[in-house]
Amino acid sequence: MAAGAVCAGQAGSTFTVEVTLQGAEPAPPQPTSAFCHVRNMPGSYGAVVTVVCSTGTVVEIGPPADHASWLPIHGGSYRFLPPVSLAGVMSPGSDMDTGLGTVTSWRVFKVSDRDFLELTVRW
Amino acid sequence: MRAAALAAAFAWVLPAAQAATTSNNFNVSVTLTSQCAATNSGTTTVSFGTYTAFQATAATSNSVNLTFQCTRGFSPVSAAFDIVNGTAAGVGVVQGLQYTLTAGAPTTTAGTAATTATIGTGDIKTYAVSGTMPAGQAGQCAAASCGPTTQLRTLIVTF
Repeated sequence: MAAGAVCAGQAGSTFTVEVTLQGAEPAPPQPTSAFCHVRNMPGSYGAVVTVVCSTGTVVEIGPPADHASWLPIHGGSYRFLPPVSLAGVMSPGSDMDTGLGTVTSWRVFKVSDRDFLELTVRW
Repeated sequence: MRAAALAAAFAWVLPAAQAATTSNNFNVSVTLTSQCAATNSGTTTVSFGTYTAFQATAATSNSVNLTFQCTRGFSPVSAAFDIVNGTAAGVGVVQGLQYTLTAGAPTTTAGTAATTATIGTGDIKTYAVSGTMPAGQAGQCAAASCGPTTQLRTLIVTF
């Protein structure tokens, strides 16, 4: 340091920085009734359709893999295709499943020799 | 006898002995080294309150006054924050949350001059310090809530 130079001084004043961190706001309660929308609707028979509901429940829309899947174990809806001909005749030799439930949607689609009534039923 | 009485009666007109004064000048000399010293008292806290993770708006703190007493007429040349718990520019992290402190230009309250009766007081330099905490931060906390968490910072003035 050169002779005669002025030495700088310092003074410090302490203080604290304070914060309380809390997690994100809780998610709003889910509505009791589900609003669902179709994610992919190709419009062709046999296609897999995914329905996403606001409750988080994924509803299966498609032919059940086996009879057990008709049981109302998921609380979901399933497509039911009565094998009825254009003449209103039930196709012979087909297994039929019946049960009580609420028809939540339906549509008719035509194939070459018959119409299909598609019902979506909720138990 | 008569002569003695006359002498006593007119004694006041006789020349009296004179008191003499003389002076010896000298100098009082001092070299004053100007100083500043922190004068805060009590707990000074820059509080951001409660921050909710990922909140949409930035959090702002209260403003605190940090005071330094300086030699009258003397001013610090600069002020900066410590680099122990953050940067000199005032950026820091507490509870996993980034914040930035700012210190405004100091205000001065003039001290009183020394007199033969009092020693006087220094000038008071006051720095207002406050902070902001950006929005959208996750923070660091293993529980639903952590805190209040405190972190020690220092405002350093250079003179």
